[in-house]
Amino acid sequence: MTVATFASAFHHMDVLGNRFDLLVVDEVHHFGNGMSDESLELCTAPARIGLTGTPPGSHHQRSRLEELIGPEVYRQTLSDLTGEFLAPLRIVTLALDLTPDERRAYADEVAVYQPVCRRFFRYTPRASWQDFQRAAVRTDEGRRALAAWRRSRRLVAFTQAKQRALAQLLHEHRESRLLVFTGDNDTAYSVARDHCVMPITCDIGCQERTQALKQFRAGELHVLVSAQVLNEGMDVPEAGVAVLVGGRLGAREYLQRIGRVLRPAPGKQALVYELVARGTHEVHDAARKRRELVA
Amino acid sequence: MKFTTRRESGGNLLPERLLQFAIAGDEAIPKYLTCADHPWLRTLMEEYQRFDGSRLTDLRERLREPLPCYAPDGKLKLAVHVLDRLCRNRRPAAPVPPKEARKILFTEAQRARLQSLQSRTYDRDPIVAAVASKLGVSPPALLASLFADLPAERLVALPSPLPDPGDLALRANLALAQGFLQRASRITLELEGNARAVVRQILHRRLLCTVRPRSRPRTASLEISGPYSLFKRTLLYGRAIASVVSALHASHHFRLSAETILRERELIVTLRSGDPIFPDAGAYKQYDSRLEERFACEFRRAARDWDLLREPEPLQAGDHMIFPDFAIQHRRDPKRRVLLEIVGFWTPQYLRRKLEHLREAGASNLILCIDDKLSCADGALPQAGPVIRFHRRIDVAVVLAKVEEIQPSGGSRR
Repeated sequence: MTVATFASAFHHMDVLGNRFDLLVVDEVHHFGNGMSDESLELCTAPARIGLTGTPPGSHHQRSRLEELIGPEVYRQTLSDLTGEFLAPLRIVTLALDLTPDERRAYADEVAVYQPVCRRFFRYTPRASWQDFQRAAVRTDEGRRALAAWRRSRRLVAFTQAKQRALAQLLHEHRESRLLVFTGDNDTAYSVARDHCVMPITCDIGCQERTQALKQFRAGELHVLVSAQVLNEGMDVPEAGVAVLVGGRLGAREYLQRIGRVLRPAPGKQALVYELVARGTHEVHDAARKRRELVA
Repeated sequence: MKFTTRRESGGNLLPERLLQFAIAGDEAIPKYLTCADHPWLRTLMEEYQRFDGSRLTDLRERLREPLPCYAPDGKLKLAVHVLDRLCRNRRPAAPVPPKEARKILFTEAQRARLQSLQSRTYDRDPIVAAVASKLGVSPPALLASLFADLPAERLVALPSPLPDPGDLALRANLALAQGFLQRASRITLELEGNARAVVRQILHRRLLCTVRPRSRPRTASLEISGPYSLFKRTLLYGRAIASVVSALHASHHFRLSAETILRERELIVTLRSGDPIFPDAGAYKQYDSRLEERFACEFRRAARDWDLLREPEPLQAGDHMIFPDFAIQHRRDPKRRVLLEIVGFWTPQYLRRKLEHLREAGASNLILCIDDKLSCADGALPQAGPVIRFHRRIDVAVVLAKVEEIQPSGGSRR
């Protein structure tokens, strides 16, 4: 039996690919989009199994995965697994107001990007957001719109109300192991500075991250804050409460974040707080993610 | 010869998306930055100056927005890439080692948070103050140290002196030319005049190179294997090949033709003399050593009827090339021409082999000057061939006598 990371499989499959009868691919949603499919193509294993908690949404990727691994043979939803394999989950959405200044600044940014967006999607109704970004970077107006869009996202990522709500949640759950998820690293560092909690980001060295996770498991640290690193691959079964402060998330990232607190334990009730800035795109995004989660 | 540093010689591979070129048939025509680009380059550099000492992430954020004047998108990204490589971004000052600060502060804060279960109050500031006093710094200094080692906190540090827009354009063009070579499978190079500096750079970087038959007299024709012809596309090889571009400046005329793979197509890129790709045009050092410089100076003063030409055409001897240092040519009778090479470290065996190569090349008009101090082995010197021995300084009179001996003429006047 050989265990390999995606990277080492990519490097060595051309030499070792003919030696296996069974190929098991964990987190298989990373394949099927062209990036590292070659490593699966180079393997001659006739029997293949792909595992994922977040199957890809796009039709193209799913059909490519069918070619590389095979058709979907088994599926269970979150509700099927809750109880026996996953801890019962409660999601609390806290809608928080912007301050008058924040609201004004947000409206100003929206006024810059929204007309450009609307015009683009009116003429190309089937286009995706990525198509818009590709088209926008080609013109000054488009780049200005994108910059305004990014500023608007940053503005609502960690509003004053969210800061207050987070402080309160940290205080209320000071006995629990708590994970805070932010939209970007800058916000993670702000949270870390304001509340003296350890950040786990891609910038923090591997050794320090491992040490922090060890302390978290041992109970020396009760809170970790992260933008992306904790989304996937890190096993933190002790965590019971998650706070989603912000960030533009796809359904997969949303599910992955929630999944961090779902490891079952006797009497455990996983609790997820979602902080949403009222009157902004976040309200719509949160509703969409909830729908996708149920589906 | 000035060897380029890693930073100058292409440092990291220029991403393919930054390569600016137009396709005409099977050729990729590089889109160089010209003086028409100087206005927006100046504006870009002003933006960098505004952010000097600020956080690098803030500058990145600003550059995501358009400049106040028109700037072609692709060229702008290339210039930003080059400017970034020129900047030496630094860490902010950290009175406490950041890792230590994080470990102590966050563990202490957690302890205080648990203690607040009884007291029902939790305040961050007293914890920061307590940890800061334990570490012997002020609370603001502790907070400033907390993430000072992380890339997000790095500060912009512009190079001093800042290049002018013209220089920046040339540097961007050099990066562009190097980017093409780093994606080459085969490079053909024709050099005329001072080919040695280029060949030396090729040998110094241990590139895979073969000598090709000359297409014209007085040229050296070489073929270099590109990184894409190797089984393993090594970045190291790509970087080595990129450094050849800077060396081309030493040659009087050159034509480099690279078979590249760009946008998944096989395209030929040609670099020629006169292309605006040499930012350090003034930095080229004419002589390899003080000894050569002194000899040239004394010779020109002493021999008024003879011209001393630096780095003449190389001699081809089978699959070897010999690069003389000078050609001594009579002003009124150019057929009277002698080549001169100043030998570095030597052994009698080495000299014997060298003379054999010269005989193979049919070069009877080459003088070898050997320094007595640089002998690396004992043994009898070869008797055949025009060899001049010297100690520290090459005597011009001896050289001229040898020249007259090889190319005698009653009409020549000293």
